[in-house]
Amino acid sequence: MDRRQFLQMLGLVSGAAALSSCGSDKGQKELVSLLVPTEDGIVPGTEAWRPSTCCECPAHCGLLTRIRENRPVKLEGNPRHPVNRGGLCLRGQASLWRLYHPQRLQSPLKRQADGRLQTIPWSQALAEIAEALQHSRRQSRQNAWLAGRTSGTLNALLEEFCSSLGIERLAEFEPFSHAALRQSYGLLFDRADLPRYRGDQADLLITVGADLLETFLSPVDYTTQASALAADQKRHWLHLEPHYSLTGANADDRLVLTPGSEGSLLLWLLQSLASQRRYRGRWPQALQDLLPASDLAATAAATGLRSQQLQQLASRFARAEKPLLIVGGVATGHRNGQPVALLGALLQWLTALPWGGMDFSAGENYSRVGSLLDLEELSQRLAADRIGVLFVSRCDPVRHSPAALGLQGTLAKARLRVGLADLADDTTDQMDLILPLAHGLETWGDTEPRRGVIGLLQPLRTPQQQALSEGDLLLKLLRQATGKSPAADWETYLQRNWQNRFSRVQLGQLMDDGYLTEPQPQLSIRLDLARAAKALQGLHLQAPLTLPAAVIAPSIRSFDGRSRSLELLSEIPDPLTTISYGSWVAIAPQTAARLRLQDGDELQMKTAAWQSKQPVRIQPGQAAKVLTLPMDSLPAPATGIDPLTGEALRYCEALHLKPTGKRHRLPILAGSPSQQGRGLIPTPVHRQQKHDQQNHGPRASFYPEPHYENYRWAMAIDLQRCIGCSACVAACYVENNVPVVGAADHLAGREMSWLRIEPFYDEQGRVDFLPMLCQHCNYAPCEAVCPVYAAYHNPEGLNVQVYNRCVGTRYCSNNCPYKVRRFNWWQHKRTPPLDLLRNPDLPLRSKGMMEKCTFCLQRIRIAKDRAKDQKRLVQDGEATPACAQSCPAGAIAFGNLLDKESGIYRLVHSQRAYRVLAELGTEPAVHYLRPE
Amino acid sequence: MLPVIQEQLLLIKAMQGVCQTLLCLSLGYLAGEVLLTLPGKALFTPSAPQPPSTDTAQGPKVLTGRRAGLLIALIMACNLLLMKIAYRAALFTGPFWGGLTVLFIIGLALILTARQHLKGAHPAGRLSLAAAVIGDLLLLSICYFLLNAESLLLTPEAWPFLATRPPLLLSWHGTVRFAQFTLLALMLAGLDRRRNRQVLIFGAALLWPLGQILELLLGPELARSPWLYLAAALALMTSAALALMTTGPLLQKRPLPLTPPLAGIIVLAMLWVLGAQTARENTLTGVALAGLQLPPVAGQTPAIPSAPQTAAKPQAAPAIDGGQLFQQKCSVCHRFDQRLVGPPLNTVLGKYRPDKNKLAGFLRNPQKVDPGYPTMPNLNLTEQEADAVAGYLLDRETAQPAPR
Amino acid sequence: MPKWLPHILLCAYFGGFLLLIAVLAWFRPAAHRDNSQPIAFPHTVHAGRLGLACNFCHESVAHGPQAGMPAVAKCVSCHQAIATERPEIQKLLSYQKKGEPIRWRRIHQLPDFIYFSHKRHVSSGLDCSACHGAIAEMKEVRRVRSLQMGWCLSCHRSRGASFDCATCHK
Repeated sequence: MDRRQFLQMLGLVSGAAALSSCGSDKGQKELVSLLVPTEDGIVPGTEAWRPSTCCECPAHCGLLTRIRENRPVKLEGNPRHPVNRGGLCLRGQASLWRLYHPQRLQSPLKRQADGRLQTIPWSQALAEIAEALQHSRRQSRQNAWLAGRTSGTLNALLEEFCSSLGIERLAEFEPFSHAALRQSYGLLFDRADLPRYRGDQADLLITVGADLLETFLSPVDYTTQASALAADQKRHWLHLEPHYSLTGANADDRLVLTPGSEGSLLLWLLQSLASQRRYRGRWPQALQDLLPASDLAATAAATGLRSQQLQQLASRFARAEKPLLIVGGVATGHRNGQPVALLGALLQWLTALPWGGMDFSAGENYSRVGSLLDLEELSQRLAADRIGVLFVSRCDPVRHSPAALGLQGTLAKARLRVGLADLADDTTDQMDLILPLAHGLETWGDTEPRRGVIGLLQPLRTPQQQALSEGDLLLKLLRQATGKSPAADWETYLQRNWQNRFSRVQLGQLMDDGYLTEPQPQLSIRLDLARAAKALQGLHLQAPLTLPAAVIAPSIRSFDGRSRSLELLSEIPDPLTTISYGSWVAIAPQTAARLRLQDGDELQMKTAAWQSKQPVRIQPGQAAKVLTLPMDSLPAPATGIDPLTGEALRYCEALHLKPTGKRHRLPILAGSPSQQGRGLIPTPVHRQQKHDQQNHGPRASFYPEPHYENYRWAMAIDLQRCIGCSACVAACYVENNVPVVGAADHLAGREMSWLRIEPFYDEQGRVDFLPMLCQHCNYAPCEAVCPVYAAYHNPEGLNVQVYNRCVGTRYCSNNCPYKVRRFNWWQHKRTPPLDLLRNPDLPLRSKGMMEKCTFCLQRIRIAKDRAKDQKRLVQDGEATPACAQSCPAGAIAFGNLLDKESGIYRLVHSQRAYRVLAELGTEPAVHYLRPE
Repeated sequence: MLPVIQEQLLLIKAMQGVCQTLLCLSLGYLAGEVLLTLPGKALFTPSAPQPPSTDTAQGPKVLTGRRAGLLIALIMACNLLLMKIAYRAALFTGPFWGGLTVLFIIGLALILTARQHLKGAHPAGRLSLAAAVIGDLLLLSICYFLLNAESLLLTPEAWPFLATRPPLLLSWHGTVRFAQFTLLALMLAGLDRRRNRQVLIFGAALLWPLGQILELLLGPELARSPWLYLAAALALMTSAALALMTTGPLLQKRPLPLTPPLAGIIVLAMLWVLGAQTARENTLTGVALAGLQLPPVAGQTPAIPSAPQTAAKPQAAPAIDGGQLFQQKCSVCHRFDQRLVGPPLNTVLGKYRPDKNKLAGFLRNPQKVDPGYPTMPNLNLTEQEADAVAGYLLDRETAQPAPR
Repeated sequence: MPKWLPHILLCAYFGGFLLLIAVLAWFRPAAHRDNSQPIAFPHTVHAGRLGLACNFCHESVAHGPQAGMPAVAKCVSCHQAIATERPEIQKLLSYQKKGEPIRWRRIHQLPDFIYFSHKRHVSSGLDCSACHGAIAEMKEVRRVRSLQMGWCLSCHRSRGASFDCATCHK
């Protein structure tokens, strides 16, 4: 008699559960046949991988999409793609939530007189637009098209569309426009463009404000570069910022300066470098004469750094063979933004360009992107009633324009406002017509994020709704308005364009690999002395911001806020504060002590024109009078426009801070900000004391010694490389169908993540990240206490949880010293169509079951199946868990410990390897590599 | 070896049912009777005064003596044989069954002899007591074993593994069936009017539904047909009738009439046997018995590339008739002069004319040729068969002029 | 104590059990209540009389975890010419015309939490009939094995296959 029968009988005897247990397989499923046989090489019930491109942020990383049952179920970085080389950030992982988002716009919507939206058919929507276009032409109003960054063939089609319909194509809108950088490069080098910075080749990286790991240009690319740099003892990475960002947390050194004082620092650096013998020859005297005066003491006073620190910085900079300075992010988002960008560019010209630290030939494709100044102009034209039909596609200018612009009010003046979007946002709320756009994984297309890199988009799922790709929409509209269109549909148009542009070989490559690289001519960047002199003449350094000031920081979880609506990204806690849901302001412990604030207490921040109330999160390492406001916390994350550059201002200065006395419950997932002396992350190797490692005597056990025959799966996590970006967490959520439970459960301490990143701060506020997951112990404490043998040690060293055995005693979780087991308090169900985002290789765990990391058992199984077909063992690198695969920093290694040739064997036996809470004698299979 | 009596299968199964009912009743009576007599006999010391000896004379006259024993053994053998004919279950070897029968006869003989002694007026000797105990235990364990074997019949999927895992023989279902058998035995023993044992019948009838439900639940899921539930319900009602029948006499302490309870018990036993037969009808079908022979386990070392396998062919294989094979396997889709599923053969055979082997190769491993037709399925022809069909096709094609 | 009380109690006792049996009968596993299919596909003809190999229709049985149901197009590829006048084939053709997949009733179903690969079992030399019985003799496919863990394990044990929970439990 098996357990099921036993329970059945128990139910019968008690008389209660008789019906439910007997009718258990009443919900008999169907076997649905296909209509036509599958493509060659596709076997039902197995995965297929198709290349594509991620469209969650402008970086456009290359993807490999895992297809199961005709739908994408997992995204992974394409290992050969030149942009991301296999890594994928958490937003990219989560972008599948956008594909299956329950609130995806389904069909064209029209706003009624009373403000409500009504579903209309496409034909009606197109007809209305065509009529309005004609109408406004007759009334000699301009029609305009405002889009987010557009590249590739869509760019060409849009051009054709706009010119044949007489629509003005406005400068594209991106909240992170990097306008100051482009402006200064334009001024100095006549290239208003964003280069690719070669941090991978630099021996000294100095980043000023540029949040390489979070949102700067191409985060995955720079994450790979920066983590390699941080892991290399011979190279150095220094970050300067006023607040505390993840980038600062991971730099070798982080210097905190007064907000707005970056210009003074760069000026002083430029002067001191220009006087160095090495750079003296390159630095023209004409420019030297124009540079404003600067001295060490004044700079130290302005920046708040000690003069010793400054000197050290300058001498390090001067000594470096291949120094690279990157300026950007919050450093250009204040009133000194233009001088910062300009001085930064001059420093780059002086130090980085000679050794090729900036590659303009592989520049980021931002040439059509404008700035807030363009938006300001649009707003003025709208106010003057000169705009007829305004299209807003794939961007949210309403949220991202400062209130001073008044865009929300002036938008109403347009005769017809047409929004193209996949999810509703602040801008679509202002639109008369909302047209649903298809997701990047539902349509054909191409992107050109970087010069010479062409990425492929292909339909991997038929759109369930009436959503159209933007290309199809343009062609339909063109046909509606003019009666003819350049192609029958977007796919034809695209194909024709590709055939004209690429050779057959190239096209085949694009289809197979999902990307194409075209060699670009090397650009020689010359400093235009006359223009540089003119620019320097106009250089005016204003005083730094008045403290206390708040920095409105971009978020690794939502980029500029565009990924806010993906619930998974709210479920994954912010790496530094470990807050998952809600908004907050991070303040320094000193400030908190002064204002008698604790985590969750509400703080009012007020200036003459602006105010906000946010719950407080105490952030170790934060500067005393600087507050960090995550962008998502604010309804309008730009406080103004820098009139010189058109950048959004991301600061609030001269704040009045006042606790309101109210208290919020913040879902803070970290148990403690400190290691409490438990040595979870031991001191680096070079500082290790002799008696650091304690000897715990011989082990004694009542249980048989585990014996492994072919495999002993193990993991090594390099803490020196780990940057805490949480890409692994997102990958784990998607791969393993981990339920997303929401804020209420997080507040009750019932989060379900199998893998969490624990930040541990030291007294100086430096942080180390410890990814914590099931340790798959040799002597697992959870196994011994399970009364029904649901926690079981398998012959390959995996600590297996047999779900249908589990009866939910939670003994295992109580006995787990690592606290990695998660209990299903509810039956977690996803709203359709989000239920389609389900990896069929895993069952859905029901209420009352314990679950935890399995080392991606299903992936091991696939690798073993393949190996078995070829009558061999799984080779090194064949089985990779989702977390290890997604890591942009390459911090996680996985493999078979019995294979002495494997990478994991080498890592586990390295001098740096240790195990967390080793003194308990659980002998985990997860080995951590401490910093060197 | 065994006669193939497909047409009379129903009759054989009916006979088997009758045999099993008889066997069950007689063995149940014997076992129960002896089991109940034993404690009383063993407690009395030989010197103690005997209870009135009248009861021995008036006890049921059935089932005494060697003739009865012979009859029981015969029914037993009959039952086993009929079972084997009806279900063709090659579960155990002949010696195994033979040994079982011998043990059964020994047990029967022991118990019968002992019973005579126990019934006799003389005090029971130690020897006869021991014989009774051994015989009873032997019989009961054989019954337990047989009932488990009968349960095993319901799960043919377990048969192939019995050789390597003998404990598979024992099952909860068989155990419950044995419990039901003991309940029947107790009921039969309760029929003794002299000793007012109707409480036994009453108790067993009360316990019966429990066994019935357990039997239903523990039996293989595949066996549960509506008829099985019906049989179970009828058995339940019979046990209810038995219980109701005995209530009155039990409460008023008056003797129980013999015939109605006996009839009830017989009906119950029949339904009990019938239930098992119904279950067998559901699981022990020909389609389920196919595929029970597992292929030999490949060697544990997979690395050695085995020698190219040569299909085991009988030396003097009869010549394969290509025409017959064509009719069997190809004619569904192919005609010579018209399109069905595949192309008219006359239009495609021409290109194979010079090379028969090429055609045979195609037949063994068909490839897509003409996109206008579906790919021909691989019919798993052997080399010889393909050769024969190819020969037939080319012969036939030459025989008739190809219509243009 | 009234005279009829014991009788009533007994009737209630047995009636309760009778009710239980009725309930069990009513809720008996759906798998055996109805094996009928949207199209009465005769395996007796295809696998039996014609002797088509199983993997002619169930193409991926040796290549993947699922045996695979033949696509409508595959059925039609033969049946555009064969027996097109029969009502069941008409049904099939109407499926094709409507562009609708056939929703076959599932007879063999393992629980959601079980990983089972047809490929592994076929490649280890097991015949389809070991688990499915003589399909070629079934007019209407029915299940003949319990598909329960004990049965899986007896075979795994006797054939020296993996005995690790994680092999099958996802």
